[in-house]
Amino acid sequence: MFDSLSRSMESFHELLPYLPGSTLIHASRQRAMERFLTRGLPGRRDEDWKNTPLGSPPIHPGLAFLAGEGSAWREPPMLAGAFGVAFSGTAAARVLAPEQPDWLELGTIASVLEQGSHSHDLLSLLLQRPSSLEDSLDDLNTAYLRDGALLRVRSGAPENVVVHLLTGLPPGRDAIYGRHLVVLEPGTSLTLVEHLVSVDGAETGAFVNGVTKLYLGHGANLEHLFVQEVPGDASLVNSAHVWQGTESSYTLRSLLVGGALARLEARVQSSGPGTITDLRGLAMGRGQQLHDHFTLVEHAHEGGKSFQSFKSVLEHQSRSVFNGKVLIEPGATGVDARQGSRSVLLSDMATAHSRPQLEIYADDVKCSHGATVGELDQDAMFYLRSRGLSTGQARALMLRAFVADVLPGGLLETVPRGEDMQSTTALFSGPVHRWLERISKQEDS
Amino acid sequence: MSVDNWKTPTSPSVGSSGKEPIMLSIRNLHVSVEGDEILRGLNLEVGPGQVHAIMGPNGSGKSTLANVIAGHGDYLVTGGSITYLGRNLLEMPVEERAREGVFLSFQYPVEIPGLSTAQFMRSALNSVLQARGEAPVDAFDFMERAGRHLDLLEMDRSFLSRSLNEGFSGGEKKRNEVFQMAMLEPKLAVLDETDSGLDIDSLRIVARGVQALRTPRRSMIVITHYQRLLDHLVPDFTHVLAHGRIIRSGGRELVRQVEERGYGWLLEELPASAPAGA
Ligand SMILES: Nc1ncnc2c1ncn2[C@@H]1O[C@H](COP(=O)(O)OP(=O)(O)OP(=O)(O)O)[C@@H](O)[C@H]1O
Ligand SMILES: [Mg+2]
Repeated sequence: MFDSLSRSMESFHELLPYLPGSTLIHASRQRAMERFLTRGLPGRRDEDWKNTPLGSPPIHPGLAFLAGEGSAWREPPMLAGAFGVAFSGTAAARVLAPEQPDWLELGTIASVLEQGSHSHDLLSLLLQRPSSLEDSLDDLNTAYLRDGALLRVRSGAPENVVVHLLTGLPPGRDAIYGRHLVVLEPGTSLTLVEHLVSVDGAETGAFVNGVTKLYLGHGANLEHLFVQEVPGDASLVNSAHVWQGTESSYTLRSLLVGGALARLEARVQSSGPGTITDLRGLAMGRGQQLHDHFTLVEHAHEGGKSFQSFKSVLEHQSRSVFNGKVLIEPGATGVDARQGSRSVLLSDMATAHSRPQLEIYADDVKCSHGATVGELDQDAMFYLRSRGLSTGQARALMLRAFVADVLPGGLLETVPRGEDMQSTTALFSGPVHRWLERISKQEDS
Repeated sequence: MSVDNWKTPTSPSVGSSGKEPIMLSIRNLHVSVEGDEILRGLNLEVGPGQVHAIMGPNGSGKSTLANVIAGHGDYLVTGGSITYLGRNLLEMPVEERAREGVFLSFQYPVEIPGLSTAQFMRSALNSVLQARGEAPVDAFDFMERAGRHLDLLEMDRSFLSRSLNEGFSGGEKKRNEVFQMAMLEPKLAVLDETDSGLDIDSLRIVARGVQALRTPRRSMIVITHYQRLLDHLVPDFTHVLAHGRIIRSGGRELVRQVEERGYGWLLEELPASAPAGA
């Protein structure tokens, strides 16, 4: 044990010179690595990881990638009308926007790190930890942070700004550390699309540790879309750390389809009254996949509203986990917090874990939660089949109906093609349709 | 034997000549549900184009019969046979029966939140068309076909975009069943209390809709408790189902007798311990 710790420290010191940042940053990295090594990766002893065995993925990034020798990649098409940042995990982040208007600052995290004390404010935002955070993955991310997108929306921005953050994972078993920083100045809005794919669609066994820090100013409005459709047996852990200013609104839509193990955390903290938080997610699992949605909504102020709905559809021996924590702190009166999770099991070997946790320390609050796990309704299946639909088709239609309300803009009726693919609705509909298409061709009874 | 053999038109006279191919032939059918024997030796023969009314007390097994014809898995056939257009119906999976022209109008249609009626109906129609060797309909063709039938049933187009049966009134659900029947153009339709829960005007519209779907070759089994529907949709034969069997068959006059006198007199005429089978 001690041996492997010291070997880890050695590897870290070997890699440190290749990581971006001033000596100041490197000192932070060093401290973060020390904290990480004391704690180790999260395991079964951690309540919040009880049903999500991360195992021991490769944690040290490859030297070749850090040295920037990773090959460039052909990014898939960006969303129509979107500003973009592409980050292949192997090469530096690239801003894909011909020109930047004054109301949008779009840059890379590497440059923030390099500027050191000149970007002090940004650095402290970039390194801030949510008070609820207990595990060590954030530290590990700080230690090995390579690059990501810096994004600031300034007042005067139009309402329908879309930014597409594309992360491409290389084939192989590399460890990829990315971090994005998103700042919405008061009164601004943004649709942020985080999109994890593999480079050139190849299978990958990468370990991803991604963190996105999101700051919403007074009255700001952020729609955060997260889509992950990574082929292969990758381990993917992504966290959204959100600070919501007064009367701001944060919406999350998450779709987990790929990887062997994938977890999306959303830790949302109010920093003023009247916040609105709407979190929804869908996991579609097959084979031995495990998908985990973890949320923590911390209402620290009056009159906040939060709504959560997480669903999963599970085939074979796949598993889904939903941990939903709502914390209502003393003085946060008039809060309305609702939460629900629903799972459909398509096989009796599949399992869905759901753990709602409500901690209420304030008066005059409304709270509710509910969880259901079941098979598709047999009477409905019979009804559909009695109209000529095969078992597979009937299942796919029922599942379509089941998943639609957690997707942004619903589910398109058919598989998006050509130009239609470049909308956010299509970005979610594509993987869902491909998944259901397979179900609809199944012929058993 | 191929089903196509039966498509050749034979005698145009309906239900009279013994040479008519038989649409549906049920022989000595025994069915159990959760261990209880519900049907005990039921016999029924339906020729092409014929309309058979089935009446009977609550719980006598009418819906059980309808569900067995459609292929519901909860009903266990313990004896007897059902032959549909020369094929063993009981060996056909539910969807294959539908694709071969069997349609059940449900007594209690199922609600499916989130699935639009249009999307459901178009998928179903295309499965059935494909089985018949016809080209699938695109969204435009579909709307055109659907529109015609909706008009006939005096249903608003907005039904198509609503979730299937979700929040539909009882009458709307029944109209939606007839709409589906019109779209799928079955050879044999079983209508299970399609008239129940309809107000006078709706009943007239639904009856007219079903009557319009009557063709010289399409057969119907109409399960009902009331004469009203059968005033519009005059049956060729009427049967009374009780104790798991058909205890009386007749023409349209039997409908009026049942309406006037109930079932008591028919049940009294039965031998004390009715032997199963005919
Ligand atoms: N799925 C089922 N599970 C258990 N019992 C059932 C089931 N379906 C029917 N039965 C029982 O079988 C008997 C016949 O029911 P069925 O629905 O066929 O009657 P029915 O003639 O259609 O009656 P109604 O006129 O009230 O519609 C009843 O006693 C009923 O409770
Ligand atoms: Mg009934």
